[in-house]
Amino acid sequence: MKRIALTAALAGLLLFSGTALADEQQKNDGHSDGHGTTQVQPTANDQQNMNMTPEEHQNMNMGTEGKGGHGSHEDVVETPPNIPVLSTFAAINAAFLLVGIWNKWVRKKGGASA
Amino acid sequence: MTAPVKNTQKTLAAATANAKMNFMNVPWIRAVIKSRWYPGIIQWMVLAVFSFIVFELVAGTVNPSRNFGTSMTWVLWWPAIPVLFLVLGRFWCAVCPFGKISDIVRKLVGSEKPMPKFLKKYGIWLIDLFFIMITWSDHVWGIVESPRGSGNMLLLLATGVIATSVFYERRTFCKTLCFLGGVAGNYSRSGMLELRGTPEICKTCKSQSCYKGNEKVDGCPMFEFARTMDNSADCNLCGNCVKSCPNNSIRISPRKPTSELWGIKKPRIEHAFLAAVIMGIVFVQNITMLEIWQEILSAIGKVTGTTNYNVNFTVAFVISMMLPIGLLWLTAKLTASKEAAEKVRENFVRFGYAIIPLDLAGHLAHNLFHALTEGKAIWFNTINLFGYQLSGDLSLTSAGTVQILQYITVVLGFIGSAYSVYRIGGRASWRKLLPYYTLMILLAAANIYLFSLPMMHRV
Repeated sequence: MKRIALTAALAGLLLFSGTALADEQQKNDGHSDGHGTTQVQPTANDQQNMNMTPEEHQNMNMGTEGKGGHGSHEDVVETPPNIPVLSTFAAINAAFLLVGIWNKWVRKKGGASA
Repeated sequence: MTAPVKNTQKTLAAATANAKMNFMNVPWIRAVIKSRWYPGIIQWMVLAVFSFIVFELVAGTVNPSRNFGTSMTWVLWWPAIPVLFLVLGRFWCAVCPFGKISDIVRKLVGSEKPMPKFLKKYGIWLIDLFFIMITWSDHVWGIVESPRGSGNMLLLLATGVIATSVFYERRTFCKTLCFLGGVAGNYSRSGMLELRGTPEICKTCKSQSCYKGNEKVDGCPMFEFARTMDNSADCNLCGNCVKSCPNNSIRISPRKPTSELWGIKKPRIEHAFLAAVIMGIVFVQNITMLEIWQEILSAIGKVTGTTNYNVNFTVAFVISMMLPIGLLWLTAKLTASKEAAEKVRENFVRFGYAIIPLDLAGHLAHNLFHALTEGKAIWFNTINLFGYQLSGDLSLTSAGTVQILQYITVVLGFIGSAYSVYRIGGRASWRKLLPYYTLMILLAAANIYLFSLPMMHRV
């Protein structure tokens, strides 16, 4: 069994390492913001992308309506903390804690003294 | 020396050799786990870091590449977590900040009511549902790439923890509602560590303090009874049972990865379903980060007749989820000797567990990309907290190296899954188990194909 497993692992590695090296050139393409960029030789597609500005590339990636999905980094506009959302969380959690205090300290002690 | 004495010595020697290694026999490990500071001191440290991460996420920069919270959560923690599950089981849950919040809330204001029957019965289904919903929400609202979104998600989880801890005993949330706990449980079944009671000692025990606790130590927070525990899905390695056991019955032993999957005594459909769902989620995570994702969306858009991202993504999401579930069901049906629904269900449940090593490998391989090509973000953003302005190439290694590591990881996962099929199938002939081997090959090949395509970054 060990021999089979070792052979399978080696076969997998050898079979796909060629693909890996071939794809290495394409990987990380289009990340002109300096993040995770590996020095690679441009492919035909890269040449096309290299002629675009980052905004054009972004627009190409966001060709559909709406937002969401991964890898869709838009230009960042700094915003302050969302106080209404944080206040809502604080209020809900405080309410639960108050229920807990009521249950444990007020209701039970009241019941014990009654 | 007489012959019977020699035989007894031989038997003892053989028994010792066969006995599993017990980390509790290592003095310093025993001292650490029995210490009153374990795991509390680690919990407090993790809680402190977690609080700062949440602060950074909700109040720091909205640029994910520069946000300390984003890099710590999605570039360090999320890729590291499957490795932790594989090596240390659910140890993370022992030091998880949400678990600590639960402990604090219960201690201060908890009503300690028993876990509701509904949660006991349908908890894992709820975990399945939450995991699917969180993944869907992540893609629709971009939670991972939005520091504010990530912060809100963590606060939402904290709210769930507080709400359940106010009313219910022990770690009800972790056991029945935490999506990460569900994943942790499944992955830990493949893990290399197990905590068990020693049957010969436990059968004479009258105290049951491992479950109930004693005056000094709480009972098992995960509702486990060491005497009957036969899996590692719900053991946090918190050490409570080690501390409370009056007979030193608890052992912590290494084991072969995936070995627990080979003989699950009571396989459950919700676990098998979760295993298939995780594979679907790995597909979704990979597909949406591919550069051909926009082309896939456009193709779906032609069918749905809309360019709305949420609609088209939901279609892709449902297909990705249904694919492994459908394939597993189809395989179960193919191998059922009769068309009896019971047999199909039984096969689905039993062999669903065999997907777990591939789940783990897919999850790990996907996140290897982020950890190794965005890893310097952790360093940069940590240093930048002290007023520096470090920036530049975030990669730790080349994309080609990452790809080779991804392929190796998937191949190892495939070996684990294929061997689990072999053992779950009672070492039956390869012809008999061929449909399951084919399923594992298909899932591994799909993963390898996805990893061979160019991928976008997270930060």
